[in-house]
Amino acid sequence: MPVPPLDGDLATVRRSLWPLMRVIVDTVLRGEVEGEPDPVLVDDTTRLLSEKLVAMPRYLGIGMVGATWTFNQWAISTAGRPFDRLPPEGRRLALARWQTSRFGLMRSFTDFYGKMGIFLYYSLLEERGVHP
Amino acid sequence: MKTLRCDVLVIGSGPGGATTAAWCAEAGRDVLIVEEGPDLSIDSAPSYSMAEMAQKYRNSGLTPAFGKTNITYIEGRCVGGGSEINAALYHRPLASTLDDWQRRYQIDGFSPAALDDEFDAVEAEVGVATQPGGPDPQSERLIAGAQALGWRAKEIARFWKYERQNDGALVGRRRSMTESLIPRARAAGARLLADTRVSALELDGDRAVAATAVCQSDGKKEKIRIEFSEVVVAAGAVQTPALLRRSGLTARIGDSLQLHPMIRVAVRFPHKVADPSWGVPVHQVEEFKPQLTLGCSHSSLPHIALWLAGEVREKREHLRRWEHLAVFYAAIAGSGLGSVRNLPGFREPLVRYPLTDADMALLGEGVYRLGQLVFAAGALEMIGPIEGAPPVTHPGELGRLRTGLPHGRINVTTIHLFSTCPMGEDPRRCAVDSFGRLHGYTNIRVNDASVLPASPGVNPQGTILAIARRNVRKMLSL
Ligand SMILES: Cc1cc2nc3c(=O)[nH]c(=O)nc-3n(C[C@H](O)[C@H](O)[C@H](O)COP(=O)(O)OP(=O)(O)OC[C@H]3O[C@@H](n4cnc5c(N)ncnc54)[C@H](O)[C@@H]3O)c2cc1C
Repeated sequence: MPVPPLDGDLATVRRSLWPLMRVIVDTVLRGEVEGEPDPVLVDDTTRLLSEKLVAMPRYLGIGMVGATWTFNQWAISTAGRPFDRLPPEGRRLALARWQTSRFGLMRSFTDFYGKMGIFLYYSLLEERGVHP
Repeated sequence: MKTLRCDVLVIGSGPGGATTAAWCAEAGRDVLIVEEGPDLSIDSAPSYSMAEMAQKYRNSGLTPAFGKTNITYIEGRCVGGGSEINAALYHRPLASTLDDWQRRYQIDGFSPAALDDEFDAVEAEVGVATQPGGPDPQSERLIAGAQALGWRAKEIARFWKYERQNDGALVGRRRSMTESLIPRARAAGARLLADTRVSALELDGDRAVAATAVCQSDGKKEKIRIEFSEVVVAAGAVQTPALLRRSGLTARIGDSLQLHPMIRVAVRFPHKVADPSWGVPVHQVEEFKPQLTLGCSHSSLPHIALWLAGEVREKREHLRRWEHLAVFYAAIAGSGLGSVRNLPGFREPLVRYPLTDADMALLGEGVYRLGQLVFAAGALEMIGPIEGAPPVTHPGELGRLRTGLPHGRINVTTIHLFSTCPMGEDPRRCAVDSFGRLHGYTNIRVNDASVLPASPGVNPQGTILAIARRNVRKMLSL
């Protein structure tokens, strides 16, 4: 998996988080967009999201890093394996569970990957002149 | 550490700072403007694009004001501040709003009549115009809905200038600060230091004597000390109180943040309505101002996707025909008082804003009215604003939104923040005097959105410019 150039605050954390972030973005996009998401666009969306993670206020960025890690481990309690080792359907269910949780923090986490991820994905498509 | 000297240090280059710098420089003062963000042209990225967000938005656009319902707020962080990324809609506040401010905050020399002159001057100096030609397709829907309901709606003028090209075409350009007051300040000799963040002011008794700043360019950081005779802080409604508080100045600073909470919904019509080539729609419903404003937002595919709530399958279906969708908003004059506080070890302050019960009720009313508007305009369904709730397909279903917006399940944003250092002579509420000087200090002034005593209930940049002009002219005894 290509690792994008990293610099700035939280860079090291971002590097180690990249593979997991990519799996989450891939799951979000598989749910939201038509057909199979283009892997290059998944990479680019993940890169842009990870840049957002660095750009947001540090106290939030750290929170989001922690939440991403927790999200991965959480799946062990519900599906027996961390999120990034689940099959696609298991990932979809794990994500949906957080999306509809009664806890605001869990929903905020999926909002970041879901809403922002979708915004960035379509922005990339628009930049490339592709419309669905 | 490098030391710079100037007569007047202006911190921040948004509408407040640019006005201050232009007037001070033209009065012959030696002015240094220090701006945290980069110095970019207005065309450096397409409006509302992700590139613009990365270049010109603070924190890339992701900053929450915490409360029972978090509110995402957006601020500019570049030379020109918010004026570089905004829709540039221009309003004068109602005379009754100004009257109320004068009375409640005991502001000297603040009659609506005196301010009229300032607004006239701002319009002439920055440039305000309406859009030539008819309305865009989204605004057409807004106007049609308002007409059907007997509500007042109109085009809002903008800080804009239209010029006829050689081929006869009329081309418009936003009159942001980098296109208007910053060049004026520079032409009069003001120096501008971009990519430089002021960390704190150094105090000596009732004066500030210097500022410490960090300049960050080409990946290198350099510490700077800036000595001055007077300092004007114009870093915006969140960063101004954060900077003053970092400097040990806390009395009534950052305790009274006010804002215009806004809810957006995606609306589906039987025909095409979204045409991003028009830019941002410029019509608003006037009927419920200043408490409530209804309007349309920029509706490109990414923005529609962002605001589209609901089931994944339905979303996909909707986005297949995204041009039939458009984003509309309801914005209210919030009644809560938020706070800005620095967190030890963190650069960005913690912002809190409690949406009051009255705010929630008014937002519900706003969404209800918005629903009435779009259905009267021929909408098929209104999608959102409650996450996970089914779309509204009939005006009869709007009642549940009017009374039942749940905390934490709606996306609330804001682009209008103010009142963190309110001006006036009332010592219980005001951080600065009637003309922006910090109470108890001789040479520290605030001249930006922070000094607005309360919500103007309309797009605020015109009011910020008019008050900044009034206050800097007083400072210069003009
Ligand atoms: C997307 C968007 C759309 C908007 N649309 C409209 C509209 O249509 N009409 C309208 O009237 N208003 C609109 N607004 C609001 C308007 O832009 C703001 O109210 C206005 O820009 C505030 O002016 P200001 O001078 O107080 O501060 P700002 O414009 O925020 O400028 C402050 C500047 O200070 C700099 N700064 C901050 N801290 C420091 C520091 N420590 N050292 C050095 N520099 C610092 C910042 O980088 C920034 O550039 C919009 C805002 C946004 C974000």
